[in-house]
Amino acid sequence: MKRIIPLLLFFVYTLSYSQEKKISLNYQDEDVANVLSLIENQTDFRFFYMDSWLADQDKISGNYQDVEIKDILIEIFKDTVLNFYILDNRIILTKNESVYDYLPDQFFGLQRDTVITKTIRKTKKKVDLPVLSSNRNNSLSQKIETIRIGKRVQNDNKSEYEISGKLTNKVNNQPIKEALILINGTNKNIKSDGNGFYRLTLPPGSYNFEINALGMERYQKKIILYGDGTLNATISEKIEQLDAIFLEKKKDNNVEEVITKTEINVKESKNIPLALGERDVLRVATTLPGISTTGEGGIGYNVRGGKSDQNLILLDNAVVYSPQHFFGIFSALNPFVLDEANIFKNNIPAQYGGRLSSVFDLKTKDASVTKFKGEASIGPVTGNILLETPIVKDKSGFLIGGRGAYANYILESLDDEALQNSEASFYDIVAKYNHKIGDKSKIEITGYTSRDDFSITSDSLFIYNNRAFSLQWDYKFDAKNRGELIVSNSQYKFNIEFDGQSNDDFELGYDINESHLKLNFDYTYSDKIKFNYGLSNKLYNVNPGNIEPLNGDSSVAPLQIEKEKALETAGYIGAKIDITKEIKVDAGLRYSLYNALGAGTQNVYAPGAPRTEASITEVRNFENNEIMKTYNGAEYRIAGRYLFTPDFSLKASYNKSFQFIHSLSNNTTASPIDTWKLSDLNIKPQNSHQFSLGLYKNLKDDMYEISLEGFYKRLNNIVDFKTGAEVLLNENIETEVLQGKGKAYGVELLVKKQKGKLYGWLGYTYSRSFNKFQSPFSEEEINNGNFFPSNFDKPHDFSLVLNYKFTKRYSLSTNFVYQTGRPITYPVGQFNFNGAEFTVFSDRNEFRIPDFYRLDIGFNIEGNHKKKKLFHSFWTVSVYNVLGRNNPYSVFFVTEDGEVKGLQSSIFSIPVPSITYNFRF
Amino acid sequence: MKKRYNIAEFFKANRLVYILFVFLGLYGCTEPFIADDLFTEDLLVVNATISDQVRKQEVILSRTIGFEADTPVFETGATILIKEDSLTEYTFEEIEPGVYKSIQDFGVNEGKEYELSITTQNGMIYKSEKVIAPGPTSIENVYAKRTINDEGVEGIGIFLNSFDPLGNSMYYRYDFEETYQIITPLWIATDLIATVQGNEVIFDTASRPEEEQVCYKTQRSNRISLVNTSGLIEDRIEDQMVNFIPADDIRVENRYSILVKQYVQTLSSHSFYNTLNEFSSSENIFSQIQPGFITGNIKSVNNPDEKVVGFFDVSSLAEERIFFNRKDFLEGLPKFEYDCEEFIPERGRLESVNEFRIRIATLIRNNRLRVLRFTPIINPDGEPNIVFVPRLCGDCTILGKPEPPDFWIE
Repeated sequence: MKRIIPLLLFFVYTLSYSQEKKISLNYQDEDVANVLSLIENQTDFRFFYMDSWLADQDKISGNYQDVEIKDILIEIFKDTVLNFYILDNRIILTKNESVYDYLPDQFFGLQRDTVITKTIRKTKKKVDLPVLSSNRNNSLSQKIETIRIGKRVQNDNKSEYEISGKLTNKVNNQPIKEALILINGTNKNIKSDGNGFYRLTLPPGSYNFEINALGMERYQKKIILYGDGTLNATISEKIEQLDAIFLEKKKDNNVEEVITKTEINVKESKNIPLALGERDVLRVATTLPGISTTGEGGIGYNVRGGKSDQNLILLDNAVVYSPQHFFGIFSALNPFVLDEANIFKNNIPAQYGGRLSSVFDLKTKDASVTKFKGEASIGPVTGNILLETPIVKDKSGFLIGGRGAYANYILESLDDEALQNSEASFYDIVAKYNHKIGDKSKIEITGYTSRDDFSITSDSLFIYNNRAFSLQWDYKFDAKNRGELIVSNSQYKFNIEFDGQSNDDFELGYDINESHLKLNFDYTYSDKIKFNYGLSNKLYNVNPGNIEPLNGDSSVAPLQIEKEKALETAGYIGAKIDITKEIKVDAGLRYSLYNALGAGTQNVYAPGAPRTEASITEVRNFENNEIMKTYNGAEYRIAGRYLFTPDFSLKASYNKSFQFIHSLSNNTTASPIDTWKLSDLNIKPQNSHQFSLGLYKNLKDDMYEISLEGFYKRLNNIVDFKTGAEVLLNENIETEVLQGKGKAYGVELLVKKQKGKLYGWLGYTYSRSFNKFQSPFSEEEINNGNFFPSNFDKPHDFSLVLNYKFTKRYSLSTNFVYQTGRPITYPVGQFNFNGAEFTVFSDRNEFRIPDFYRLDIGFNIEGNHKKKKLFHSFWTVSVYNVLGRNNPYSVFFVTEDGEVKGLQSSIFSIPVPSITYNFRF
Repeated sequence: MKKRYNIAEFFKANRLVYILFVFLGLYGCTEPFIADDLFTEDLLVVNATISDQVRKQEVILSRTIGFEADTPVFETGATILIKEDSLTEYTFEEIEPGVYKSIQDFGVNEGKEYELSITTQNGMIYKSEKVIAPGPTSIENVYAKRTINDEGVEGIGIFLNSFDPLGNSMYYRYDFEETYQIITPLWIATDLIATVQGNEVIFDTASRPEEEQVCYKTQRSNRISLVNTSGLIEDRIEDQMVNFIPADDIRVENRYSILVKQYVQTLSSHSFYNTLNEFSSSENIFSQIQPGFITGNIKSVNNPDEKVVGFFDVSSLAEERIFFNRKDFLEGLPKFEYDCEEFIPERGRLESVNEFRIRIATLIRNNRLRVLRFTPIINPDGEPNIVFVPRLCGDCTILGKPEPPDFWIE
């Protein structure tokens, strides 16, 4: 890792050396590393870098006579991603910004809590020591400022005092995350947290205090510690000066973390070619093991054999029910606005609840508090924009991101009358305000909305809409306690208008609304034990459907299905415990209490009879807010890690979860008119148990990251329907609903190469997912009550994403996907009925559609990287489905002119080229 | 109460594909899917609709067949019995393979319970659930109106109004029998007859039968058409289109008649037909309705695991017939175009005159073409000069029957 060139000086340039020193050099087809040592041999310049950076560079040749070292280096590194910085006789190599992007989080591991390191002196004697400021010799101490911290108190025999503070970027006033704090030049593993706060304890005395943060200038002070105190630091950026930390052993987050989370690199997502040049962070997630979609044009994500309603998708802590546009072809989240995307699919931390399969935790970035900025992209059917502006300089900022599709113009310009009346458009807007109040607190307010409109026939209009709002207030009580107050509200709704020829014109609506209040606290008991605890309260209000006549001629009777209400309350506590250096445990307990509330009526069905309208024995009436039914239970979230070596670990976890709301769909894949139903007297909450075991290994200075994970999951009370059930506007929906069991298991392999000109990953999953609906009554059974493959059971799932950077400006990216075709119910015969032919279907999901595979290629051209340039731009040229594979999305059978015909539909059956222009200012 | 809305309309494949073509630049596609590894299940299919109209009721028994198979397979030799309130029994006899008719005329009575039982030739016994007959129904009126359908085609729509002041009907199924008149466009009074005597062909003229000029064709609907009024304030059906005929269809070339049948069904029977319909109509591309086996109300007594296709449907029936002429509605719109291309046989270079005459005689006797014009052939050795047209242009019996049906009114 660390490369320190032994001092092998043949010539000693004794006195003055300077950067102006001219040298002569000659080399042919040499490795860059060799050339650098050649320079080291000739001069007393010393290079600092990581071997792996140079490993992938081409061989170089050069011949220089009396040239400044700077010019040689410019020549050597001009076509690489490396920069250099000359500091006295040290030459420090850095990687350029775009490569940096993925480093910070992984570089120090993902621990967001400040670690307290105790440096207790060996002398345990508590003596009233005079604090001495010793003039220790330090070559760099000439201009170092000395700061006195704390007040010395007589007879205070505390052996240690605490220093805490906040690190801020001088340029944009953003907190500096993950900065490493060095005491007397040594790394005690003290870092600033996600909000730039740090804290440490030291015995009284004098120290060299240094802060190293990636991309920031080195901050160095001499401190004399008398007592507890604060030291805030404002640090400049820009000059990418490399410090000792860079030579520090990198933390292997994937190996060390107890709870494995899947982290999507938002910025890297631009390098993955996608349909119609649209960046899509969540689509990148589907190239990772365990996360898939039902196909092109499939809404929702299936995580580890779970239905798409089992994912909790959070945008700044507010739930987004359907974050996709146009049947899943586009993501409804503006990629410019996203800062972090983490997916928990293995063990879900106790602070999250309410969904069985995963948590997609998406965070928007903070608006700039220093200057006006913008970013935009123009693609073939959509445009994206992000604008950021400071409100109160250095304190608060506001950002707004928007995206829209302009396909309507194309539709309107057509000659076909039917299509002229068609409409297909969507947009999404996200806005955020962030405000810092002093050093201790911060407020963030996010608003989000997305809307899709389309009318396929001239007499119908279909609209669906997501809305989310959240307010988060972070407060730091003291060095050990932090808290967050989160208030959020989310809504999903759809609306259908039908204006046809006969007397049944109608308007139909559905909506679900949830309000969430959460208090989340972190308490650091010691550097080995940390707690996270809190309370969460969610109120759901559902309008399960209403229909109204659209005009006076319509004789549609207005109908309002009884509204539903429920309160989901949970308390949780989790602890991260370092038992030994090797063994770390993250254990959480969540207790959920769910109350279905009135006003409303609930049907009681005769036991021992199939549930039909005829078997209703009693209808119970409930007052407003009266408890109709209570469900409660404990959820366990336990994960452990054992470190064999610093770069090799074993992790195991057990996860139990409840889910109280269910999406109802009588389709094989999710659709925008799926409704959400709250658990009540007749529909029980779903629950799941997941066991997983994984091996994690990093290789070659973390150039390669390998993980192998296995999981086994059991689900109870999963929801399905009787064949041909009607979901919308059904007053007794429980007579159509079936609840049964599910099981899923699989093995996931991920190999990542993170560095070099060629980087990317390979993911392979073998997994199965089965459902079972058993009942004493045949009409309430599917496939005679046996386990059958779920709609998203795709045993083999292979993804390969490879990027190659030719130069700083040109890069190529490829994406290859292979999946087993999803299960399908086929017709197994035909019969004649009233003059027409009809089909008889097989058992549920007995067959499969053909396998899916697709190759996409993209080419990115960046504008030049001159710093002073007003606009930074890049072009993305991509071809989706290069092989022109006609991947069937669905196979269906129709009766036309009295004959049964099999048809298959695909969304993209030919290669789809696109070009997108992106720029920022 | 269940109400089925026309939501599937929004997601119909055809239209959506167009949108996708535009939106995504012609990337999507729907094409025939050839499934090669399908297997066939051989199941009993029961098609039994009995109504309150007193007549010989009908039950059809068949078997499911593979997709390759063209000919239906009927279940013959079965014994069928319908019980009314477990008291009265109506027996059936097989009048043609798979088609069973009640021996006596009967109609179902409102509020009474009916049960169908079938014993097949191999001894398997099947029984339906007990079904209660719904109340009687009536049609307010049926009328024809010039209209443009959803695909933008102009033609004639057959509409219906119905009203049940008691509000008990709610679940309606429609079906019809249409009859149309065909008038041959190129009918000529004199026909050419060819008689072969030994090796010689003798041509003669004769008068063409008048019946070949005007015919009547009757056919049944082959779709399931369902309406329900459970979501409406009144049990009223207004301007419901039962059938649509494009202006240039042969059916509306002259005079047309339709017998519209309105069945009032039970909820479960309505659901069965509706599911059947949903599974066979054009699908939505993005989300496919979960198909599966549609369980009816007939079960095997011997083997509860055996699947039985079909439904014992006890309905009330109301019928209404209307007549109209093309000129009443469709004046000025394009008419049906007969394909009456003239065909004039010529003697081949190596063909003798006699061989040519024999060929002509064969053409006449094959009755695929009809003579339109010919020069009188006096000379028995002369070369005939004959103009043929397709048979339909000169003889409508290829399509219909010459006698008007009993109900026909000019």
